[in-house]
Amino acid sequence: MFNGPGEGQLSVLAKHRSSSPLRGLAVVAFSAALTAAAALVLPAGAGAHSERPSFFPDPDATNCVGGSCDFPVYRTTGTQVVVCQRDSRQRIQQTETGSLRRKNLKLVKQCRYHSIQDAVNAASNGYRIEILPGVYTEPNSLREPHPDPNCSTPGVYLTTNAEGDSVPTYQYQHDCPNAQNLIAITGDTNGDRICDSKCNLQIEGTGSTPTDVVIEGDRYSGPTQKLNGIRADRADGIYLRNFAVEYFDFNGVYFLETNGFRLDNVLSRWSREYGVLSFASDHGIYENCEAYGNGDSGLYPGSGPNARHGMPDVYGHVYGIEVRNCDSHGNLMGSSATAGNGTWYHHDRFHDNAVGNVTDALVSGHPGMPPDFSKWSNNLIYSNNKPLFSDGPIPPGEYTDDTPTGRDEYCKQPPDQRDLRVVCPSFMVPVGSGTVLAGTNSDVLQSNYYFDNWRLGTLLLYVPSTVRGENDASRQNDTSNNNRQEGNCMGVRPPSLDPNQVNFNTCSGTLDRNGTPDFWWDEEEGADCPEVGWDGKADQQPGPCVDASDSLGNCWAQTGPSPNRGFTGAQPSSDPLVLPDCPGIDVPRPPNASKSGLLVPCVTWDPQANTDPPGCETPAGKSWFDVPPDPGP
Amino acid sequence: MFRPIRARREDVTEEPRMKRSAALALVALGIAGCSGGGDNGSPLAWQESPRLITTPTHARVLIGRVRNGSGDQLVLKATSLRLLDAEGRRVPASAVFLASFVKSNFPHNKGALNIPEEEQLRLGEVAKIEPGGSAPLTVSWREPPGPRTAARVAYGQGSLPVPKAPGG
Repeated sequence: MFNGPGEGQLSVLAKHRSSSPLRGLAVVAFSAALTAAAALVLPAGAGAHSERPSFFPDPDATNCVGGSCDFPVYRTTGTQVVVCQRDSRQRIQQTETGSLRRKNLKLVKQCRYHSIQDAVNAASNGYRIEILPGVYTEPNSLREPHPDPNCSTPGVYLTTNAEGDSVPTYQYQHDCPNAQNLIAITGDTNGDRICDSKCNLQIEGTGSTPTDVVIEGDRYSGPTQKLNGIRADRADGIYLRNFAVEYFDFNGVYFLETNGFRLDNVLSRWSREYGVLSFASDHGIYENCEAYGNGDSGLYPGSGPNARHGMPDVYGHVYGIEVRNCDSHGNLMGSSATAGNGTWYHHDRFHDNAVGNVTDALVSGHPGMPPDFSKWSNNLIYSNNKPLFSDGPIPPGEYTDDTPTGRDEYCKQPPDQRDLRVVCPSFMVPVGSGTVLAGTNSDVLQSNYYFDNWRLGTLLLYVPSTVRGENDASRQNDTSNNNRQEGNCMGVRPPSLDPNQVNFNTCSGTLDRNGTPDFWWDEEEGADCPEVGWDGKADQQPGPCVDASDSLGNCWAQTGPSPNRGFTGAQPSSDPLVLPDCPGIDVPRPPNASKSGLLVPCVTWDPQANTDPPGCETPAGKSWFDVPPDPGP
Repeated sequence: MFRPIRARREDVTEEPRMKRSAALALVALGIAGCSGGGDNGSPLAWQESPRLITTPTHARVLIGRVRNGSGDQLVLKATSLRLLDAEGRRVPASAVFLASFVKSNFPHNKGALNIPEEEQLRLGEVAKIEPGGSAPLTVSWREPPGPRTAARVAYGQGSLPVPKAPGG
C-alpha cells in the first residue's frame, strides 16, 4: 500500500494550473469529458465520473521490467495460463476446424481458470493469458460494489477535490480492482508509477475472430454495470489481442498511466462513452481494431504523449501513440482526443459516424494542453453523417440504432431504460463533418481521402485558453497555429475501401462530394507560444508567451509537391474562398467573428431541454444537429 | 533523465474565491444590490455595442460583453434570462455567458448530473461579475415571423437592448 506525496490531492475538475514552469508535466487532474469515474460521494443522480490526477510516463525511460519501455511486441514464449468457460470445448468443436481446432482443444485440457480476472490475479510479469472461446461475464467482479467499503479510508483510497467531490486513488484501483472494472490489471505496487508487478502481460483470445471471445458487461444500465471492461493501470508492456468487449458505461478498454501498450485485433462496441480510451500513456499502439456503437468516440487516445513535440524519443519514435489499420464506425465520433498530442493515425477507416475525428482543447483538467504534433495520414474518412440528433416522436415498434427519426426523444429516457446498442450522443457535434481540429497546434492532415461527408471535409478553429483553465492573458490566443493540410483528396471515393489497397499518392476514383466547403476555417491564426518538451521537460515555456517567428502558419497546400486536390485535380472548395498556401502566414490574427460567433450557441445544447439550439450553424445556415442533404456525386 | 513530476499542493494555485455575496441566495437571476451603473439605473449594460449575426435560417446570434455597473457582485444564471419583444412577449431563446465554443467535462448521455459550480462558470451557465467587471454574453433565437421582433434581454431588474439590425 502506498499513498505517495501529492497523490490524489489535486482537484479532478480543477481548472487551476500550477504556477510552476513544470506544470505541464506535473499534470493536474484530468476529468471527465474524460470524466471518468463516478465521484464516490456524489449524491444519487449525479452521474459524472472523475479520475485521479494523472501523470505522463517518461518517453525516454528504459527502466521498465524487461529493460525496455518501447511498444510491446507479440510473444509466443513466456508462462502460459489458460482461461475457459464451460462451453468452450463445445464452441470449439462447433465452429473451428484444422490446426486452430486442434490447438484449442489441447488448450482446453490446460484450462485452470474460468475467470479472466482470476488468471490476472495469478499472473506474474511476462505471463501469457490465453482465453478460449466463450462469453466472459466475470460474476465475481460483478459482486464487488462501488464504492467498495473495503477501500474507503480517506486519504488512502479516496481524496476530496476542490469541489468537495471524492475520487478514487490509484490505490483504490489496486486494492479493490473490480469495484469499477470488470477486469483490472494494476501493475504498480510501490507507488512510483512504474509497473513492477503483472507487467508485460499478454492477454489473448484464441478463437478465429475477436467475437469468439466476448467480455461482456450489462446491456442496460443498472447496479452491476461496470465503468470499464478492462482497465490497464500502470500496466506497462501490456498486449491485448483478439477478443471483443461490449456494454460498459465508460470504456470498453482503458489504458491509464501505462508506458507500453498494444491493442491488436480487438473489437470494442456499445459503451455509453468510449470504445477504447488511453490517457497519459505512452508507447501505445491501437492496431487492426474495430470500434462501433459508442456514445462518445470509438477510439480515444486522449492526453497523448506531450514531451516529444515532433522530436524522436530514445527509441526513435516521434509519435508516442499510433492508431493504424483500425475501423471505427457508427459512433458519435470515430476518434476523439482532448489534449491529443503526439499521436499518428494512419491506414484507418473512420466512417458512418456523426463526425469522423475530433481533437481539441475544449475541456479543462486534461494534461498536455494545448494539443500538438499529431498526424493523420493515409486514412479513409467518409460518410460521417450518422443522424444522432434526429427529431420527431419515437416511432412505434422496436427502436434500433438504424431508426432514422426520434433519436432526441429516445435519448431523453434515463440510461437504465435505454439499450446500449442505440447510440445516444454524449456531446454536441456538427453532424456530417470529416475531421475537426479545435484548438490544435502543428497538427498535420496529410494524404487522406475525405468524401461523402455531407457538411464539410475538415474544420479548423481556435479555442481560447481560458476554456482549458489557462488564464495567462498572454496565452489566450495560443491555439490553432501551424496546422498543415496537404495532399488530401477531397470529394473522391477511391476504388477500394481497404486503406492498404489505396494509393494515397494519387487522388483517383469516382466523384463523391463532401458538403461545401471541403475546408472550413474560422480564420484565426494563433500565437506560437513555444512548448519546451525535450530539454526542459515542461510543456509550456515559462513566463508570458512570446510569439515565435517560425515563418509557419495554418496552411492548406495548393502548390508544391503535395497539394490538396479534388476530383480530376480540381481545387477543393473552402471557406474562406482563399486559404493560405503552405507554409502559411505567420501573423496572429483573430477569428472571423461572424463565423466563430455561430459556434457559441452550440454550447447550450441540452439533450433534455434544448435539443436544437438556434444559431448553432456551421457553415451559416446549416444546424449542427440536422444531417445536411447529400451533395450528390 | 526525465522523471514525472509529482504535483505538490503548493503548485496548485486556486483562483481567489469569489466573495460570497447575497447574490448566491437569489434564485433566478441573482443580483446583489442595485446601485446603478447600467441604462436606466439598472446594474447591467452592454460594455460596447453587441454584434448581431443573422443566418439564412432566420437565426439571430447576439454577442457582446455585459458590464456590472453596480457596487456589488452579480451572480447571473443564463437560463434565467428572457428575450422579449417590444410588447414584452417572450421570444424562445438560448443564452450563455461565453464568447467561444466550449465543451462540458460531463457527458450529456448519463442522465441528471450535479455540475460543480466551477464547471458551470466555465460552461457559461452562470456568471459572477465583480463590480466594474464584465462577462461575455451570447443570446440566440429564431426570429419569429411578423412583428414579434426581439427587442431586449430581460434579467429581472433591468434589460439589455437588442440591436435592430445585424452588425456591431
